[in-house]
Amino acid sequence: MAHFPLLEQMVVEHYGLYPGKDGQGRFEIPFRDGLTLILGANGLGKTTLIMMLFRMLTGTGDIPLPQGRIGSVDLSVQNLDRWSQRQFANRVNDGAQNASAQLSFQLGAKRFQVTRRLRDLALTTFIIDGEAADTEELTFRNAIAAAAELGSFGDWILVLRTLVFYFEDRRALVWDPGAQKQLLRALLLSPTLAQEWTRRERVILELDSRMRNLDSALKREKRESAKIDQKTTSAPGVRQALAAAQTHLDKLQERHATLVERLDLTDRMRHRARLDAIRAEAEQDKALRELERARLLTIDAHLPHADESIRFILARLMSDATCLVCGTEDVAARRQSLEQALEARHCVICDSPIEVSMPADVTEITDARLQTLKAAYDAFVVQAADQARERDEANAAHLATSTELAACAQERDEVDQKVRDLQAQLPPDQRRVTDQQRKLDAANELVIDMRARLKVARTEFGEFLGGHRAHIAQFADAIKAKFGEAANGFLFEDSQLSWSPTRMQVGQAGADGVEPVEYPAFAVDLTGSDFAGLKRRGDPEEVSESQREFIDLAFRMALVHVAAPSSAASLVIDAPESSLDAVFVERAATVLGLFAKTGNHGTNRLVVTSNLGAGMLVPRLLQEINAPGDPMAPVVDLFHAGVPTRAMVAWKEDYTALWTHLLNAVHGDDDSEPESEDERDYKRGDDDGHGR
Amino acid sequence: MAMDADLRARQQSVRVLVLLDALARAGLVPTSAPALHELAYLANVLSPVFDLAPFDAKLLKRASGPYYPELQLAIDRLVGRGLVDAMKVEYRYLAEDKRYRVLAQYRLRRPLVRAALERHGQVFAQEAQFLHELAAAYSVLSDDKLGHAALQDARYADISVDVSEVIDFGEYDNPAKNFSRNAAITFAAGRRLEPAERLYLYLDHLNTRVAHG
Repeated sequence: MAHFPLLEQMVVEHYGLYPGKDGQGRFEIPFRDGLTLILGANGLGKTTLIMMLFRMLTGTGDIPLPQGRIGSVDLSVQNLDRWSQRQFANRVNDGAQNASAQLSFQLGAKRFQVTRRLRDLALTTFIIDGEAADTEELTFRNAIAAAAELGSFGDWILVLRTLVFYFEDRRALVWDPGAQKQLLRALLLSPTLAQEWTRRERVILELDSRMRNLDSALKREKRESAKIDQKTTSAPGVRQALAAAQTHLDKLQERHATLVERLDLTDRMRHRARLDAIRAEAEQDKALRELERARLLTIDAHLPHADESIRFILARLMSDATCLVCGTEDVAARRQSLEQALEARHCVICDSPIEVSMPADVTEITDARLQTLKAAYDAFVVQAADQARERDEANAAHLATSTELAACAQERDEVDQKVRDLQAQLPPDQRRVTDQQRKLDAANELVIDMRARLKVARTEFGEFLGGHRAHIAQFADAIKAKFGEAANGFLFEDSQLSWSPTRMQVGQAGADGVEPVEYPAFAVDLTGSDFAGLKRRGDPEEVSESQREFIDLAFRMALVHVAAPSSAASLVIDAPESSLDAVFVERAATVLGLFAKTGNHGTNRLVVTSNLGAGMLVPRLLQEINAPGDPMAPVVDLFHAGVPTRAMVAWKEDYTALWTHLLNAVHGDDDSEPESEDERDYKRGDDDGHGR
Repeated sequence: MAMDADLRARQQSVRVLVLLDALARAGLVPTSAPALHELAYLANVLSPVFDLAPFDAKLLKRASGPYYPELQLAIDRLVGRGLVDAMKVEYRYLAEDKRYRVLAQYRLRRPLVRAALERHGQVFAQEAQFLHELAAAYSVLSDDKLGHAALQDARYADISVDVSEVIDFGEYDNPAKNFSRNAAITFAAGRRLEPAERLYLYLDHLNTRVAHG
């Protein structure tokens, strides 16, 4: 199992942005058990500080993660380019010539101290458990990966980038199957197995890439060859037909590739639609049975001697207005008359008054309760019908694509055969059985060989993955439970995490009869205001911004908790309040506090940046943590340790007021929201007529 | 689609009658709702052992075991039509699934359905034989295990499918993922066994697994 960094202290020296409290060029940030709150204003360097923290842990290496989903990106470590190595130098006017940063942290049982020059990130000291180590980057990388019990330094950067640090770009983890598969692999398999997985996957991806490149080049050459053929004088009719057939074949091959991609998409869509439909059907049934049970209790109370089947039939008729005897649906009038008969204590069959001796264990359900159940059932009926329609449409779209693909493949094969036939019709002396043709044939053989090897490698990888996916699945319940604690603490909707392996083809070449592999993955289900029951949210666009961020945070917290059972961890979040409205602030503080106040074998460390006056999250969080002695102790104050911005100079009084407000709020003297900037502008306008 | 839905509802009704008949012949009468749903599930996953296509190759995984809403509706309708008796109708709240479930006992009104069952046995002889063999093999389970055995079934218990996800053994996904069928046909490797023998071996295996958790 893995270890996450437990941050202890960072010291930045002689860096222009952070002169320190006394202005002597030394800025210390102690990371406390629980919360460390880096508080500042726009331009004071909060994000730079977080990035510095990140770079102290990654050094001059990085992995090339794309902006969006990770996909099958190569996690090999690459050295930062010169510009990126100077990212901190470029923010200060002296080029950070004498600046350095030193970070102390624990990784499992080991304690590290790293010092780097800020002008180029070069490692100047590296201390492991009090002993000085070699300052080569490779030594650093190997030592860190080993202490974190990860397969590679690339995995270390992945863990930091997708799990430990939640930067402002809000890289989604729970909605990125590529990131999930890599992270679950790195965290929950042994380092050796995790590496073997990567190695096998890379072999396939490289083979896939080489094969596609070669195939593409081969097609180009074939086209060129056909053009040359056409220019020769003999058999002009055949050559013209050959050229046309070759062009047609190229188009068909392109279309085939497009259809294969579309088929993959429609397959995913129909799986999703089916899940929604089958869940909606289950919810409808659940609502029906609950209503039916309630109706049966009512009937039991009034007709205790009736035959059980009769009572059941009546209960159903009064539940969904369906007559089970003849199958007629929507017999609302009959239902109403039955209800009236029951209410009047009359027999539902002959309408005679009946004497009812109420059994002791039977209760009457109130009309309000029945109406609520009925309304819920009616809503589920509509939803189930709608989802079933969507499922059928999605399935029809998939089948249509499949049919189209089959037709395209057949036409492609026929045209391919036609091309061969036409080639065979060329005069023997002109058939270009030349070096060029032989080269093409050889390349063709190579493509066929590579395709076969790719097929074998994919099959073997699928089998390899099967066993290890099952191992990872053993942790699913613990991750789901922890996610539930955090997510349901934040969300008003019900939510759950589901173990939902994702089917993906390794590489871009066609499947060639090989089943896509199933990568380990979780998916999020959430109830909503417009529909009943839990519904799969396969895309971040399907939830609100605040839900998105906190669902992702809940997932991160769960992974951290389960993947590192023997050590506490750190989580670094840049500006968590940005997506929150006032209602959610309280819950967000509770959820973040949940992480900060607990931990495996120690207390976790939560590092949060925020702007002063950004809302009530900061005071609520400080109250939630309630540091012993001084509730403000977790605050790292960039106002006094950083270089004042122009805004701070111009609006000193406003900032002072915000500080006062914060202090009051933390100490419970003031619960109101601070004034918004607009409100302050408005008042200022009243004072002097011109604002600033 | 209406025609399809109507046909499907009729097929479900016939299936319930045939399942109840098979269970009755195996001595499992009256039959509890969970046992009926469980046998329906086992019939689906194990039908390929008899070279038959599953009636339904997917279901929603529930923590308490197999349950088909559509099948339950068919049972309800048969009760309404007087072809099936419902006894001890009660609803129990299942905490693991967060829902009520009907736990009635069902019994055929045989005089009313005998002709239909005989006709079915003639037209769909292989299916009828399969269900009779399966119900007989299922009857090796003790009463307390009826309705709980599928939780140990190779496909149902597959941890790669979470609760509240779809178990698919051939509807959209590859039928090769029918691990129950795969297990049943690999018993006694190298020996030629009749399909019915494979059903017995598989149910016996389930019985052992349920007994040992």
